[in-house]
Amino acid sequence: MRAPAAMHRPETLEELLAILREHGDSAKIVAGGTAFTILWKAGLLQAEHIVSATGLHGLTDVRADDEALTVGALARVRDVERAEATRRNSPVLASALRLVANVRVRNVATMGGNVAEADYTSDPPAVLSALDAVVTIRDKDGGRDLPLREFLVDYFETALRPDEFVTGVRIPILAADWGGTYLKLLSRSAEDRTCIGVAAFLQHATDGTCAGVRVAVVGGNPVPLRLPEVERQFVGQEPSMEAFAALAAEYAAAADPVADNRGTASYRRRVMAPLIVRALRRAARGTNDAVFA
Amino acid sequence: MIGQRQTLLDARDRVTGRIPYTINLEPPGTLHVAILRSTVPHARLVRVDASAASQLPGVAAVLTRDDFAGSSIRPLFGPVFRDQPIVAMDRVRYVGEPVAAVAATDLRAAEAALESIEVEYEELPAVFTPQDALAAGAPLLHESFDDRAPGYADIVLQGQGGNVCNKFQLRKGDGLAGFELADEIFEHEFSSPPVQHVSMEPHAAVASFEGDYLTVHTCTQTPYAVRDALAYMFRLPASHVRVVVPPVGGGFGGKTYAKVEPLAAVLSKMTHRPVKVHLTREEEFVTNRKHQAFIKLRTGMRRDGTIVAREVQALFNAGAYTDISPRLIKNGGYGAVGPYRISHVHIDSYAVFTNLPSAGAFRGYGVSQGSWAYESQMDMIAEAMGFDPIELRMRNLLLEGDTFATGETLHGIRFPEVLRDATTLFEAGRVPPPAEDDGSVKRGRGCAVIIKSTITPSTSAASVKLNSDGSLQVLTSTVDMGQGAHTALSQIAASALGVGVGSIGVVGPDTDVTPFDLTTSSSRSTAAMGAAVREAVFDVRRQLLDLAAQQMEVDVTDLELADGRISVVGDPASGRSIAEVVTASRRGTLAGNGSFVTEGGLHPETGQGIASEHWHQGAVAAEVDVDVATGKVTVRGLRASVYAGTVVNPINARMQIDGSVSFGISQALFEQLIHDEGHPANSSLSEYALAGLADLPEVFEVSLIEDPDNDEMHGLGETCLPPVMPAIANAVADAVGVRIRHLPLTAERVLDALEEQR
Repeated sequence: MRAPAAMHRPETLEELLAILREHGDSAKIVAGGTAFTILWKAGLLQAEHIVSATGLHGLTDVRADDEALTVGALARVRDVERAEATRRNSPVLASALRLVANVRVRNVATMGGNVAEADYTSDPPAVLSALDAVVTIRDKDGGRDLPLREFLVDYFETALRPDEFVTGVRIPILAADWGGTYLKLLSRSAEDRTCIGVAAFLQHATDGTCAGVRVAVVGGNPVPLRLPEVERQFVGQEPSMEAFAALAAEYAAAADPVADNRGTASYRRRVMAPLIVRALRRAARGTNDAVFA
Repeated sequence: MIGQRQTLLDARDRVTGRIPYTINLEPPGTLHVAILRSTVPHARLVRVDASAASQLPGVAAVLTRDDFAGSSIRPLFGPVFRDQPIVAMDRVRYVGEPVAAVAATDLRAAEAALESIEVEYEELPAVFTPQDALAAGAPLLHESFDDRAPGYADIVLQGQGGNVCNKFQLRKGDGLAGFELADEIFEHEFSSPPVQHVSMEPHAAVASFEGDYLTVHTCTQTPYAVRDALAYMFRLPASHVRVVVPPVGGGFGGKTYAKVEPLAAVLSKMTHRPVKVHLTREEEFVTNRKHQAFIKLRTGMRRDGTIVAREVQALFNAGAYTDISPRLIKNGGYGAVGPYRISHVHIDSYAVFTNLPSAGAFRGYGVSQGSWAYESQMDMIAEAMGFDPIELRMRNLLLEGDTFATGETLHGIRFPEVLRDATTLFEAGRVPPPAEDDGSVKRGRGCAVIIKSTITPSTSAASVKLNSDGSLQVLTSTVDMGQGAHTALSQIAASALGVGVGSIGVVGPDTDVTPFDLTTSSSRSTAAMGAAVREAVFDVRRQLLDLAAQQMEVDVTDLELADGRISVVGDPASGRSIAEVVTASRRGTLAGNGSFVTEGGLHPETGQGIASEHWHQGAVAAEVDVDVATGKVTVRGLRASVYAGTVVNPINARMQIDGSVSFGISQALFEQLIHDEGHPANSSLSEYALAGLADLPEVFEVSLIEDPDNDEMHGLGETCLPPVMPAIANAVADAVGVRIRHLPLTAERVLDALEEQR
């Protein structure tokens, strides 16, 4: 049974932040509503106050400067996916967004909602985590920036305080000598949620070794799995199948998968390593795309 | 006209949402219903107290078992055994069973009132698989099988006792003794999970009692069966119950026989107001489903590849109530023999009660479960004996004039042609190679061929009215549920009268108006109702020609009717239009009647007799990619071939096969209802996986094999579904050498099998 809740429709960020300051403990924010509605109807969300962010003006920009791509929290996934700024500066992200759910969902789902939901099988956080994205946050008194990897805390749990609101995501732009890919495994039907998603980026040094590597995995862990120490050990190595397999094995060993209708923990652990290897091979080739596994 | 490409007459309205579906109906003053459902799989109902709930604002009535005490309303219903309560009486038998229902002025008030109903259960031991239900000491779901509904001549009731709901058996030739003739014997068990129909439109009904006259608008596939069930329930003459069926948003078997109509009708009786029941998606998942099945198949082979004997031991999970299980296990039982010439056959097929929601009719109707077993095993036998799987089938396929397992002689048999046609998919270059270049993706090919009956005996009747302007109304109880039945019937009527489809109007099911039809299911409507409509048009056409002969003062045998004009043969100038003849007759309208009636039945002990008036023949060939790193199966190419007879509408025929194949791919790879001790674990479209358009293969061919020499229309709604699952499993086995005997072929199941093999 759905308990009735008070609905708030602020028109400015300041109004919204004031409402959160007053009711944040018992409030839920809704923007695109694609995740919220399902959870709410199923009785999995409780809130006395629902704060709609859809009436806000702004926060929809997708812009790039020399260093980063900046995406407003209320930018629709579909708009970010199609934006020239995204496609030019972060082609893997643009391609990965194209594989999210379906176009009906992407037309309404927002980027801020996507990161704030902290869904453990959502695709964008894999790419954003690998790219060291930073979440920009506001509250009534000011704001803070938090790396996505610190922002995402656990299954459907973030570091966001009740009176805080995500205003955007800042995504550093990789140098041209990086290649990358996002590999998405659907263990069931084509419009299902992701079972395992791997974002992999690799930087070639002039001597043919690896100058840098980034790997982030969703679906196999409460939050996107990144192992910076393992990534650092990879620097200076030849990009060989053996080296890829060794890195992948470390990730699989560190994973803490959950079992759901898309696969047991054992299944997720078993498929993770070969998918990481496959993603690294594509990254090494510089495909700069996103594909289904 | 028959054979013309005709866009479905209601396609635009369906796509744009203008169709007045039952879920959109809301007469003034309608009450809305929320249902309190059992939270335990099996329990004695100690107490149901709705006294607080019925006092709440907006609540008009709360139905519990207490309302039947001293009432003349019969609380149980069911098409074979009346064993299903409208709301639980003494016990609950599955999680999700209705225990009480609230009718209120709005849905929110009804839902809120549910929380005030107090229910006390005394839990009983529960069983969830047919094997457990048949074990010694298993808790019993039903103590008696007294209340048999009349009708359905094809259903033999036997074998009841314990948790057996019904048994079908067949003995042909020497039965089990036939295995003595075999050089090799193969025995395997195969299983299919329960799956749901997932019609886009959920079950819905609006019932309205006015005095002792009951009108129900409902999205049923069986308007007359629903009418008769309600008449019995309320002790009314059938003439006092009217069932109207608006266009339906998908049925697939799940909307056959009474489902939510009794609940809506009882609440309307209690409140004297229109009452609407409209199930949620979650409720759909506990309302009806495909039978889970475990089939043990023993096949005796001669060294030369001849099948000499087959034994089928089939356990179908009926769930808590009988529904139509006795018929389904019969069709699934003899259907498990397959389209093969086998001299000695022994079949025992059981429907078994368990503490799960009832299973019922589902597109494929038992044949999917059976063919999953026999067409999987066919490839296993071919591999073990060193035969090519296609050639092994060819050697054993039924031919014209052969006798089927039921002893009936088969005519119009095209199995070898249908199978050969499907396997043309395997010709070089038809399906692009795997995309992944690291060698982890393997390609495989598989095929399957099936035989399927249609409900026999059965009756369809139709009426037509020829108006004075020359237009024609077809009155039919065939339900249009998106399959395009009314478009096909329009084309058939137009052809029979020699006018354009634009002159035809179809009046859909209304039991006060449209004549009897057994059911819109079993791939029968185009063939059976089409024949009735054609006969009705011929009836009116005869009257028309007689009138014209009188008016023109010529002999009727000198007249011909073409392009809407009646003229003397050889003298087109003599002609007058249909409208002129009808108008001049001053009859207003001319009425015609037609019917299509078939006979049949099987012997209770031997299963010999006439099982089907027509045999559907279909085959599927599939090419799949198997990713050995993930176990994921992708169907890359598929060709479905069916003996279609005369195709009424090529567009619609193709779409029927498209739908069947997408159902098949979905069930092959994804679908299964999961339970945890009887509690549904994936009752949402987020958690229940269904194939989408992107899961269909990029090479997807449909072949409708026609027969120009034989003016016979074949139903196409199901034939190409059952072969999809074994064809895909056979392709997986061909690709990576692992044999999956349990549907669906989930990525994890395939990966597990691959690891076991290593």
